[in-house]
Amino acid sequence: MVEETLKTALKEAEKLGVYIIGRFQNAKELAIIINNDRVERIINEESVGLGVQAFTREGYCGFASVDNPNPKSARELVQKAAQLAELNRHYGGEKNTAVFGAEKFVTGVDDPKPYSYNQMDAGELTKLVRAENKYVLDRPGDLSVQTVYRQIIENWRIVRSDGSVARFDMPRAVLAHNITARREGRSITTRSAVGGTDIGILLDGQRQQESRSRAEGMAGLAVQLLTAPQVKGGHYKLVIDYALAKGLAHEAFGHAVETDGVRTSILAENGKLAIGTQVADSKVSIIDSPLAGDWAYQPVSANAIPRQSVTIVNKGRLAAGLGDLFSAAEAGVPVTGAGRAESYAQIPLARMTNIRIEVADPVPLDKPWYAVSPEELYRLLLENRLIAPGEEVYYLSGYKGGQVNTRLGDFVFNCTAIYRLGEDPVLYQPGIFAGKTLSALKAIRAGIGDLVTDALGTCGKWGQGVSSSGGSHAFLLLDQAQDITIGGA
Amino acid sequence: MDLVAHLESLLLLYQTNPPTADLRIKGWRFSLNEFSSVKVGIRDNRMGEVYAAPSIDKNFSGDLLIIWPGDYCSHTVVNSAVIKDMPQKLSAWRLGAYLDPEGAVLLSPQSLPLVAVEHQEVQGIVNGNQAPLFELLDRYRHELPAWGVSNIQAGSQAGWGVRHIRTSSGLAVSYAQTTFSTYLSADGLFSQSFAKRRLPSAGEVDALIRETGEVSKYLRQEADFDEGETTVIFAPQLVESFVAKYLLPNLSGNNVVNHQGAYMMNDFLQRKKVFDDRISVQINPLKSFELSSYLCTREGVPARTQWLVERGRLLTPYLTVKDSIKAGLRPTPLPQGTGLWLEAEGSRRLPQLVSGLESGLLVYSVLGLHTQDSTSGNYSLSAPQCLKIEKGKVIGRVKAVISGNFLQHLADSATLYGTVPGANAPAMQFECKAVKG
Repeated sequence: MVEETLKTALKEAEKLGVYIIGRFQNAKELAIIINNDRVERIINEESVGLGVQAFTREGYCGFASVDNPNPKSARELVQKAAQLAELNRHYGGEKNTAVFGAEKFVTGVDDPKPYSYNQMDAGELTKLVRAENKYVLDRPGDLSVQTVYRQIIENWRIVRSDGSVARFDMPRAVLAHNITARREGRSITTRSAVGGTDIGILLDGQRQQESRSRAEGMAGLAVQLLTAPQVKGGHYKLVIDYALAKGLAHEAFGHAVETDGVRTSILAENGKLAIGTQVADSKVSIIDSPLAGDWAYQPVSANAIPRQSVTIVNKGRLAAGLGDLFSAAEAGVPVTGAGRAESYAQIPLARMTNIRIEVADPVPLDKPWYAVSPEELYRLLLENRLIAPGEEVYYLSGYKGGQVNTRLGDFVFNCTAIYRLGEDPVLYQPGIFAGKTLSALKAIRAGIGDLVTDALGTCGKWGQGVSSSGGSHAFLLLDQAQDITIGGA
Repeated sequence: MDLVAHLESLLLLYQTNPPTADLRIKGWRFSLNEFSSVKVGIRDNRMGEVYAAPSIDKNFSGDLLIIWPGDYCSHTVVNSAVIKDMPQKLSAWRLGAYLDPEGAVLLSPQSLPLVAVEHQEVQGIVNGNQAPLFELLDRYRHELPAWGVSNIQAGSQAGWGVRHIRTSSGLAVSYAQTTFSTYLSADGLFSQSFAKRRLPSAGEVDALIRETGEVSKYLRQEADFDEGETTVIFAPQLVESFVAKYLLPNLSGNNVVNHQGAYMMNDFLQRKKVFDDRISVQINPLKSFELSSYLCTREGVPARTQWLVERGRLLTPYLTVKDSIKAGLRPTPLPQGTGLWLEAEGSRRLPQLVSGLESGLLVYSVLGLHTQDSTSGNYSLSAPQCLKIEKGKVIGRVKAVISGNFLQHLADSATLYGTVPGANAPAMQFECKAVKG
């Protein structure tokens, strides 16, 4: 039915004299929600749909989408999209002819899958998720724990009028705990999560151990934060963990080099990405690429173009953009297959996948990042002469998301907790990290430990949410900078 | 095929005469939306460009709850493909069903109010002439440059559809509803939006354009401020966002019964005073053409006004049927969208707050609100576009990082409130910490 539907769409487009990109998506999701050792809800979701983006010969665009497509509705969809393209022309809309010169691709990606989507039924999965919830609930303190397990599989089939065809799957899974601690009328919520592509995050011993260690840490932190004071807002020397480093890369840089926003990006000059600009120390690089087995894995763009690994910042210099088909040329950079869409019902935008900061010659670390205490971190910094004895340094831990205004170059991300480092570290309430795109990377002084790239989340842009991930070395050291502010009392 | 009738027949069949005994259904309810929407946008002054091209979407989906014997439940999202395949899916759903005695309760049908949720002009745009969407954007493009705006992002969207709610306990309601939204953003400095179930009036469009132009003009002038304890005014649109972030989850019955919010069930039973006397919070799904309005919840609870906080005292969280049973209280209407209305007695008008401000900041937007912990009420946010106010006059733009506790601001008798006609929330004036950002 899929092939027939897409074939019908292409035929109708040819008949009407329009060029189309057709995106057929089949998606399934299972969500299991456990509240304090009780099953709150188990939800099954399946959807299937087709989105058609039509271009007139001059390049005016219209888009139409429908759920449960079949050959008849596909024909109607192409007609609607073509009508909207004509309406666009009538109102003096903007033309875009990039697709007519695009390279043709025929690509299908079949990644090995250790576990299939239906490997285990909902009942068995629920027992496993409930066990994880109980483990966290039994940690010390007056805790309430909500555990959410989600597994998702998307099958994409994309066709273009030039004969391009792409086929790929996007499996992902996440196990997250929202942990609320209370005492004497106060309450604090922290969160921990592990992600991947399938139920391996529940079944593999090492992943389970890691998930439990992280959750245990967050449960203890929630209790401690109940009585923690607020840090004094200001500018400080900082250490951030790898997940916050992902936030730095994602918010400070990633969005600013997505080519659909370059016209007004802080990193552009005269509407083109200012390639070659020194934006960081020469030991710092930023790379974006799809990683197999990763939460945000997408090997092919929603425009049927294989997604490339892109070195956005190369040894301190802006080197490349995340090039979507429809905006890369205007931005002055190559197409890198960066187009992603939340679903068949949306027009793809230039997006990141897994974005990470790499620093040359990192300081070695002999244990996993989550096993490093603030005291140990302090001693490591002293031993490696990265800080002086008695120097005021704050350690930010636990990424909670961020936001950016790419036009003005203002970005933020938030942490779960702040420590003033020392022989007796002091814990503080979280404070926002606010910075400027053009100067934030220049503050990076050193990387500590190996790369950890599984900081996962959902990136929201223009009303669409897509999976995102990334990271850096276990910790990054940042110099004090006037353009980096920690919010506080 | 009438999918709603088809689904209803299938469910009745499995209730009365299933193919095998293990697939006998005890009860069910579903809420389905057939919805079409059209939209077009401006990106960087370019109307209808490829990323904001005129678009139309047609969708039929909703949620289905199946109750099996022994109070086991299956909860699924349904659409036309799933409905057509249901006999095959039911076995899998039965295997995955979970025990949920409180979730397995269905309400008897109750009489529903009349609420204006469909606007004919909006329906006309979706089903026929999309010109008004383009014409509105054209106005923005032509009028904002007069205010010195050089970069415009904007969009307009209209939706129309029919909502169907059915339960095996006898509720059967279908009603049409519309949505209309438009937003505009000037030079990345300031943005405004309109979102209701009707078109904006000419005066409302004039006001959108005027305020966007005026405020963005002020935000182009740089100013400075002294760090420390600062008097801050949050504009109504920002207060609305804070209400959604801090009150919606903490007044959620599900969070209350699971001890995952700021308040415990006892706090409501004892009518604990948590806010200042002037503050009340309600759900009101009866307001004509508001996005938060509807006829009944998906469980069949009729729309009615429901006070959650009255004169500073907690009355009830908002409760689904399941959570109402756990709480021992009556189920309530639920907030739709942001859907909570904050009312402050003795409010002045916003211009009075501004003119009465000796020295402070007027904050329209922040970065990072979604990253904050709502249970604590704490916030630490970047506000890169604030207006410095001195002796009641706008001086210019400053960038600040602000910190405080929103729940405490609502409890503080020194907090002032300012209304703006047509706004969904009042402005708020209070003291918080501010450093230069």
